[in-house]
Amino acid sequence: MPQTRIAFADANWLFALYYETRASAQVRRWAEQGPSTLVVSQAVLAECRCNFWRAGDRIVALESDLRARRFIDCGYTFEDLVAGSKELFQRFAPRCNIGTLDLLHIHAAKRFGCRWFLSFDSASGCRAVALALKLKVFPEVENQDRELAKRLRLTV
Amino acid sequence: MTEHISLRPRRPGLKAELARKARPNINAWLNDLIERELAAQPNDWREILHGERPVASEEAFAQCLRPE
Repeated sequence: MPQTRIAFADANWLFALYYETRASAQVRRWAEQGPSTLVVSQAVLAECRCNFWRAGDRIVALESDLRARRFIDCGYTFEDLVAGSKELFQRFAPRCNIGTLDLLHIHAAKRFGCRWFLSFDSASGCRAVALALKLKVFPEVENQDRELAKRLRLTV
Repeated sequence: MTEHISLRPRRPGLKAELARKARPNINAWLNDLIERELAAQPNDWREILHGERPVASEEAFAQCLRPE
């Protein structure tokens, strides 16, 4: 029996789950591959609480689904995440355009023990950083981010 | 065979609080708690894909993709 995939979901991934977007086909593709446990953090939820209002009121459904345990909250406080991300800030901020919250998400994913990182970020280096830190990234990382991940691994 | 799990409390005072709450046997209390949590399977998030899912504009989605 295949092992359940434990995956950290970025806010843009949850957006494409609750709203139909150009990326939603990838969400369906992931879902069709079998069961998975989706992990979120308070930083991800904060992003959702802002971004979801840009397209409707689906944040209400997300909050309800959290209570219904459709997702696992990793349970780290914002302060925990910031303190734990200190080294990541220093290591990656000078080397790519990655955002502050993105590094908090990657830190949360690693600390919780997620194997997968679900994100549609592009051009920021977020997915490349996740890959450089040995998370499996979905959708699959393309050449540009793969090259960046290689460089990021080398420039520690 | 005995297996051990170490726990690092996330805040000061948690250990004392746990000792008070979990009397008389912290080990049994924690084991019960873990078994309950493991038994409580999360609902399947994939059901969301079968419910109401409004279409978002490209602009709204693009804003989610910007580094924050």
